[in-house]
Amino acid sequence: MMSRMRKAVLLVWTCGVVGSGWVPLAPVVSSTLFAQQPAPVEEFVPIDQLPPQDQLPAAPLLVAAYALVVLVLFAYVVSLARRIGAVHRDLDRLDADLKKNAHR
Amino acid sequence: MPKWFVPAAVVCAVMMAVAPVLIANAPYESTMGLVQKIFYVHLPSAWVFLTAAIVCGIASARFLFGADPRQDRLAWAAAELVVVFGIITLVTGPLWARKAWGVWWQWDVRLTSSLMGWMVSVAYLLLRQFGGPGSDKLAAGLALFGMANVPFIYISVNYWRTIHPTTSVVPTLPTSFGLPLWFSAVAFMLLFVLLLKMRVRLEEQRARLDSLYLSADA
Amino acid sequence: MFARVVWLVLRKDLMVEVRSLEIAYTTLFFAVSCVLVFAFALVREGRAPEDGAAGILWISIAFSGTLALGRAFERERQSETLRALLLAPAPRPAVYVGKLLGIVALLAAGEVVLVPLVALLFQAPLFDRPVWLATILLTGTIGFSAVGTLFAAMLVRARSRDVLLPVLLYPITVPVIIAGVRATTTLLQPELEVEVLRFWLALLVCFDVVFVTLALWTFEPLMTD
Repeated sequence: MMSRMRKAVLLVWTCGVVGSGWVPLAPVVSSTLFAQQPAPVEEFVPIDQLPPQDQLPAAPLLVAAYALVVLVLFAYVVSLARRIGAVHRDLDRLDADLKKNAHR
Repeated sequence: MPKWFVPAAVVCAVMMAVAPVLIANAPYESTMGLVQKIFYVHLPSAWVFLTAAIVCGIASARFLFGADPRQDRLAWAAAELVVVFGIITLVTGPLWARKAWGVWWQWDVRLTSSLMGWMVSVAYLLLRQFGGPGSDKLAAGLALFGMANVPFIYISVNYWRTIHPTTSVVPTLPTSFGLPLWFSAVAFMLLFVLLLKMRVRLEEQRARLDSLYLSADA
Repeated sequence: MFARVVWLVLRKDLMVEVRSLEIAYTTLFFAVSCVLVFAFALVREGRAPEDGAAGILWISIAFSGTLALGRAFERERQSETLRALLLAPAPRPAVYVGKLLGIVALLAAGEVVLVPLVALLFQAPLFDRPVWLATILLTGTIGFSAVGTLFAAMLVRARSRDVLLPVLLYPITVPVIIAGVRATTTLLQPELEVEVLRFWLALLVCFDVVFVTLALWTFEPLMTD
């Protein structure tokens, strides 16, 4: 059974390699396709290694981003705590019921 | 909870408190200025997003081929964290992009495939919630396809010319940028492990509750 | 043995379908209505947008494909034939491939009607390069159907299966749709850029390979109780 499976998978992969191997992938096409896009950032440069530039008023976006991180993580922890609390309550209630029934 | 949990939580809390100081002291980047500091939460949360997807995929594969319920619990927990950290990544990114690129969103490869990966994890949660019995295995199958997406998300930005920075940014970072980034990344990864452990514990308690109910009915 | 099982499953599906043509007619009508809705929604001053053809074609294929998948496996569920198939001493991957080819055949039949319709309504020169078009449609359909067949089969016994199929299917198959649309758009340009077209085709083939491999691998554990 496994060898039949292996054969099937091998066949699929061979077709795939043959099918995609006849195309030279990325470089030629990416440059043709995306020549009009701006060049990607390849490394960060600290600001004091370049002539001084104006600081863009980006504070609201920055604050929003950090606030979002805190809020989302906080909301998730709260949701987890509530769910764990609910399960603990159910567990305690069930334990008490079982003890009561065992005594009878 | 295991012994390492509380010390780890304390360390994580301290790191999260110290990180903003390190970030504030990092130099400004030349072209992007203040808004580039979103990088220090955007990139670590993106790494956790991808890591959680891989954890979910591997746990799903082990559950599917090994039928170990612990792997299923781990997969569900990881899927929830993919959603949470995906939200953080996919919102902090556009907030940064608004200033850096001038647009909130671009349909380039990295953004599109990340969004699709996130949607797969939301679909996973919907399936677990509403799929009825047997949905644990079905969701595991879905998670495998979702994990196949992850390498694509990561390397796509190197093979397509997109507006998103390539993966060569991180290895070439000067130390002044690198220190806050790696500190932040370690803090986020630690948080990921802690949240994963908590979520798995919730699932373990639920399983215990179910078995207790069953034994009470018997 | 493998090929024989594939052929038997495929033949069964085709025979059942040909007798009533229920799925074929309903899916086809839905696909045509889909294209018409898009045409009416996007018409301006009595003319449909010229660049919409590729996107609308693939959206219609995706929507009608989801419907066909749902209906095909609903039929299996009603007669409990899927369980019978799984109980048979046949290799499970062969059953999957047989069902996959049946779905591809169904969708291909739909595309035979959809493509001329889209070409007509959107004045798109889809038939100028028929071999390329057929290749794009075939690879895209296989990719979409590979994931669709697996998910539809595994959802057969789940609750809320009708709404869950698109919920699960679309995020995974979006890359296939995107590649299909880009390839078709490239094909519709007056000057054909062969490298670009071959790139998108290669990407489609990659998706097909990955999805079929994953599906073959997971079909057996997913279909056991």
